[in-house]
Amino acid sequence: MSLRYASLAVLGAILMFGFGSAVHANPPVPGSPGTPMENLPDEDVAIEVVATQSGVTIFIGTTTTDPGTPDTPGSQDIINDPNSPECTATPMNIGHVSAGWVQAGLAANPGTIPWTVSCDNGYFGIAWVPTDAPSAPDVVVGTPPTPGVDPVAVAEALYGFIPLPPITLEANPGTGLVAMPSWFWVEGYGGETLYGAETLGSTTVEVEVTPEHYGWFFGDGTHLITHSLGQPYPAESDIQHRYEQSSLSAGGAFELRLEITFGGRYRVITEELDAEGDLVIVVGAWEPLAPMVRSFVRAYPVQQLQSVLTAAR
Amino acid sequence: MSRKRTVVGVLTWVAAGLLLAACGGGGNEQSTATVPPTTASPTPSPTSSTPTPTATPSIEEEVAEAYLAYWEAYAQAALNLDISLVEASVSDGERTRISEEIESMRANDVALRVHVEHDFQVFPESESLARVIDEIVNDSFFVDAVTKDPPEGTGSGEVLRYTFVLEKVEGRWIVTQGSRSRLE
Repeated sequence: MSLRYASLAVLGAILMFGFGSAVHANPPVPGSPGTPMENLPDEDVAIEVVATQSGVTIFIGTTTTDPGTPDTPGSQDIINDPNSPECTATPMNIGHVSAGWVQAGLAANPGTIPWTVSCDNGYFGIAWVPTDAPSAPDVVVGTPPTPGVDPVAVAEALYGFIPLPPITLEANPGTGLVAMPSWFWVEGYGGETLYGAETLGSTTVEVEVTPEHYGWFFGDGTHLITHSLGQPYPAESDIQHRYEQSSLSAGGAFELRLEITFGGRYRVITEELDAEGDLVIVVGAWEPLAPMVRSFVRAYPVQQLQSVLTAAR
Repeated sequence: MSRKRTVVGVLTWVAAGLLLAACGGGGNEQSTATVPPTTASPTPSPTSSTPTPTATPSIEEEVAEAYLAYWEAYAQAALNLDISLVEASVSDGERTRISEEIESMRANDVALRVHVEHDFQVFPESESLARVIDEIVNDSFFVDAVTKDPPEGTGSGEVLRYTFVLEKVEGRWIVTQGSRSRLE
């Protein structure tokens, strides 16, 4: 199981309405509501976006119903074949978007952007893809795998999407001086273990994320691997660095980067019935997850102090 | 680009045209405007001998204009049960479809007064192919095929999503394919 984002248009009940038929069961009368272009094909579209740590997949299933005519019977074209049609996804230029339904979709699917999905059979639709998707989504015609609980997949998905605190990198002095130590530290995070959990039916997957070490990259080619996030000023931070040249050659500021390497682990908790029919909660052992690195960057200008000699009178 | 429009008869098409012009020809501005028919008053156009430069419209602008023109033409065709009124805006296949729809209404002695509010987005795919997704609020209603009565009616207010394909054929954007789904 993976994190599932918004389905755009699951309209399974369309066929039940029977709208689109050019042959009226009850002949329309003046003054009664009517539908423009009543004999357009009805499209029953289901789009589901599934995100895992390794990528995003857009699943599409469509059923097109041709209402037919008095002389020609209608038909259904169910598109659910993995081999056809060919579909591609393209990110929408949301800078030019103002349609109300797009804005509503953005509000209903926070953390996503709309992608257009085009298929060579003419199908065209919108999928809401996480903004932090690691790569362009794959498009698969068909329905997502049955959400049987795969604890490892759930754990990986949780691992990749556990929100981090709003981490910022701080420095004193705000503008560094050549040959003088600059002190660095992190605001917003103290190295605490982070948690996430997902419950699917009777199975819960818990994930713990703990920082293993921190890599401080000062932007001048030097770095420091440590277990410290530094200490905020006015305390003397143990994350210090002396720059040997100004940041002029680096475009005005060095890129200060902190790389946090997290280790993770997960466990599965299931609710089961014992032989007597009583509910038993089974807590599994912790299992490791591969390390994960998150980076945080800020610009840090460094200046060269220059002595100015003045003549004495 | 996106537009919201209420399309009710000729007046609204004028309004849409005026709005497109006001938006620099319907460009990429993030304008969202509902144009009720009552605001569609003709604007005096001052005569001027000074030629003014006109910007080349973008594909989005061209498609938006053609799309609204298509709906207006369709509205006239559905009201007057006259396929010739929409022929210039559609492919042969779409012409056949609309013709069948008109014939179905004619067989029931009704016509359709199209009252819809558009909320659409244009997605250009190439210089000659674009798609439009439009969520409309539908308040259309049937009228008598001959007298066109009643002049006012109550629509369903249903929200429908239309997806259209427009292609540029011989320098003109026409509708070549469409589909629809019900949203609520």
